[in-house]
Amino acid sequence: MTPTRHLTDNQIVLLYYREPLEEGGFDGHLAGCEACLARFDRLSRVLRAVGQDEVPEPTGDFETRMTARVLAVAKAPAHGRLLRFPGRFQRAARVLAAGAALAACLLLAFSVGRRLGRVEEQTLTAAQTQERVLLTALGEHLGRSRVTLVELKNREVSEADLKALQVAANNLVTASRLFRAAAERAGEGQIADVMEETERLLVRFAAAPDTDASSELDGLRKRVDSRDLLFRLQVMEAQVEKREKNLAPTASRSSL
Amino acid sequence: MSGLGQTPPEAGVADDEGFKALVMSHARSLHRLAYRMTRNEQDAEDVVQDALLKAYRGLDKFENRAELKTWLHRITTNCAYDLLRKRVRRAEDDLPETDSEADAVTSSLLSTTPGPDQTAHAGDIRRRVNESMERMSATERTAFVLRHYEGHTLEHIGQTLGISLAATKQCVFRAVRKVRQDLEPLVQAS
Repeated sequence: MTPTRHLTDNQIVLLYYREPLEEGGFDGHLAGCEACLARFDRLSRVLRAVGQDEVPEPTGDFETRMTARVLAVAKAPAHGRLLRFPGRFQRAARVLAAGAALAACLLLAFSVGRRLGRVEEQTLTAAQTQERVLLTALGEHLGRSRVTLVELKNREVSEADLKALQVAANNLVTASRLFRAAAERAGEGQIADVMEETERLLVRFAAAPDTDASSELDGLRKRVDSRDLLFRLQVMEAQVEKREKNLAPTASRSSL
Repeated sequence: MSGLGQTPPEAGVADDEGFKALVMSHARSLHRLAYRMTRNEQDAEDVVQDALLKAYRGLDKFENRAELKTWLHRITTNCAYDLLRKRVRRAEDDLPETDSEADAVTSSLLSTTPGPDQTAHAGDIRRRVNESMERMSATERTAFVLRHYEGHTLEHIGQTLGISLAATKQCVFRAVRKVRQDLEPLVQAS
């Protein structure tokens, strides 16, 4: 006897996953209904095929790498460190350290600006001034990040340079975290996302042990390309610059 | 693995040996989960790194009544889910602006539909699964991976994603529909 009611596609999915059906009255239906059983078989074949999709195994030292990276990041000081750089990286280090310090000031300025902006109309100009300062610093930081990535991507490095580059990368991460916090507070999700992605790449390289630093730098270079990071940083930089120019003294407050 | 769950790293007595043991025991299964969700090896490594860092920093919040594995998988799921949502947001920003551009994209997608003579070998399956996953929203993809590969119940998935059971079911139904559209021709041909 052929049943008059059949299972819906969704009910067949629930049966496949051994989840309870929402509707009663279908106990033993599959066993007695050829049509529904055929549909169940078709779905099962597809989902079994999905299950055959294999996951590539990470390389042999995966656990060691993960442990080293996580412990390095977890134990890194939360704030910037005063570090000694070899000759040609000293200027970059000073710029990065200045950026970090400026970012800290901006975080404060931004917090104050938000409060001022909420209180009185007459403080609008002060808030706008702070916004302009923030935009300027943010644009400069994005530019610095891009230049640093270009440097990491293109420079021919010797073993001796690697350590210094790792330190420079670590410093950029420190500065970036401060700017990202400001961007997140200001609701600038896109900018924060790009910064976070840049940080993530830099952290991997910065935290790599000496034996892996070279291969991590290669990995960083590939990821910079595959994720269009340079282009995206450039776009963000241009957008910030444009907003900074458009910020007229009489204009209303923007989200930043 | 001494002290895990009782000795938070913030207390200054971080149990690094215990943490190493935790990584040795769970990192690969976390990587599998992360890869299933992100479909990208580099992203999967990043997700595992983020998840382990959060676990390291949050050991004090770990409730002993919960399974350590469940807790780690939940953190990894959340990290991967966040990454997927960001990726979707970025893709939406890159959407073509005109109808003709959108048509061109649609045509290029349709042109990859397999012909009846194609066989369902592993490479084809992987490619089609990748394409199905790309067409899923972050929530659909997460729900599907947790249900299909990880064997979580719909109720548990709903709790992880913070959505109702009914919404979770709809996510899985939509995900399965997409998978069927992409894989059924291959499976039938084989």
